[in-house]
Amino acid sequence: MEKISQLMDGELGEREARLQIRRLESDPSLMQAWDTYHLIGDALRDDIPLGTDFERRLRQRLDGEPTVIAPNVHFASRLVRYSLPLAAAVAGVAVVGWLALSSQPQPAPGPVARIAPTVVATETPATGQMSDYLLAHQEFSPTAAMQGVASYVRTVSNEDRDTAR
Amino acid sequence: MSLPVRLLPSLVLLQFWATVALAETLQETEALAWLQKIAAAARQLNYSGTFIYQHGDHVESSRITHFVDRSGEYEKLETLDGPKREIFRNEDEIITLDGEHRVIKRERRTRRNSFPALLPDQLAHLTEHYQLRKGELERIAGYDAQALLLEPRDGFRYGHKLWADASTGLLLKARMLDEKGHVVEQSVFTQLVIGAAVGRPVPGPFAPDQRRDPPSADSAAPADTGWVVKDQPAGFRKIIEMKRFKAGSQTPVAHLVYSDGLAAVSVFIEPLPATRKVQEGLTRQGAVNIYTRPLPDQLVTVLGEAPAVTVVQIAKSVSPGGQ
Repeated sequence: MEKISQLMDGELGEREARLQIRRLESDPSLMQAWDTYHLIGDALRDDIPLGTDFERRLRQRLDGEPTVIAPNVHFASRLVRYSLPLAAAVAGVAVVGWLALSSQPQPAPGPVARIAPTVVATETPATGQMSDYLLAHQEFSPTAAMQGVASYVRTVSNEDRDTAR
Repeated sequence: MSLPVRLLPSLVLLQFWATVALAETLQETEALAWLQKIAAAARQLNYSGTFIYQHGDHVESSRITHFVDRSGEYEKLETLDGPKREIFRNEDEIITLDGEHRVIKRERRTRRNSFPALLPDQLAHLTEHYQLRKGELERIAGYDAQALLLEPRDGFRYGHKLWADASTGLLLKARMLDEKGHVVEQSVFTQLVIGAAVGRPVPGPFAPDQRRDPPSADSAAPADTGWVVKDQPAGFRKIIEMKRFKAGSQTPVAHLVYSDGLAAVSVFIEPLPATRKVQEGLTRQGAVNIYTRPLPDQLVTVLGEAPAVTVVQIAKSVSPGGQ
């Protein structure tokens, strides 16, 4: 799992990266972890607005690159289709391309398009509702049980955060 | 008794590994006993103090009090930084107050202590997913504290470092760590009184006319909700499944809790009116990751003090039972 995370961060050497990619191809659960990591990355980077034609432009841009990798559900088939001269650079290429694009002026935000899987954190459920859920959750959480009264701070802090907006 | 001499090195090695294994088991047993002591102390002791809560760049201090006598259990937390908030609990009644002493919410809930804090059969499995060991004795808020380390064996749960008062077991400091060893969330007492000097906390003061509102009575009862999680990460087992009802509502919210004995992840499923648009996504509050996932006419909310990968995987595999 940690290796997959390192692969995504481009922290592995070429040999190790090739090895991990072979593991990815052969293990569906690892592939799912890979997808999930990207999905989380996408959601966490949500502060960068993406235009409607973002995906098309990214694809165009990447088509010009020697290596094409986009975090994608069909990643496995792509791995087979495209040669991988330097797997460690993969994440790097995607991120660099992405940063370059996102620093350009973007059209007015419309429906958000994304590299699949499409996951965007926009609307947080109502504050009161989320506090309710947090409180309900903590009644059954062993971690909260050990923290005692202190565990309420999350609920209270949550409301502060939301009212501050 | 004669043993071939050439076997001796093997026997010595075996003896060595047996000793190491035994020492590890002892460490684990002792650490598990500490966890139970910590959970019991949080419920049974009277204590009052100031503590600091930190996650990311966010740091805030609060004053908390816990008091228990024959009339019941009382808990109070008030924020000391920023807009004042207070949460007060006596048995099943919870009152939330804002800075103007106005009641934000007054409600009745199922009592927390109707459910055991640490389930014995869950604790038995804890060592499959965490490596437990005792750390050093350190000094926290003027108390001698025993450090405990819980290191996860995979990336589906956070690591924990806990510091408990060496004599009473009360948790003085707690730190959660991600798989790269970065601090996800931390809380620590800076001042603390334990025992007889602690008085019973009272809620408020209230603004005029605030106390007359009757509490809203939410209810929850164990029930088969018809929902299942098909692909939760290893070690997360369902510990309870129930239907919750908001006061005055006939529409149940399904609540399922999955735990590995230390971390817990809750799954809530509520009806989603066609008029309400919710986008799928991840947010977080300190160590708690929250993932919302709209289905055609239901909204799935999954949250827990676990890495995003765990919360997302559980959210993605929620489905109606029997399908």
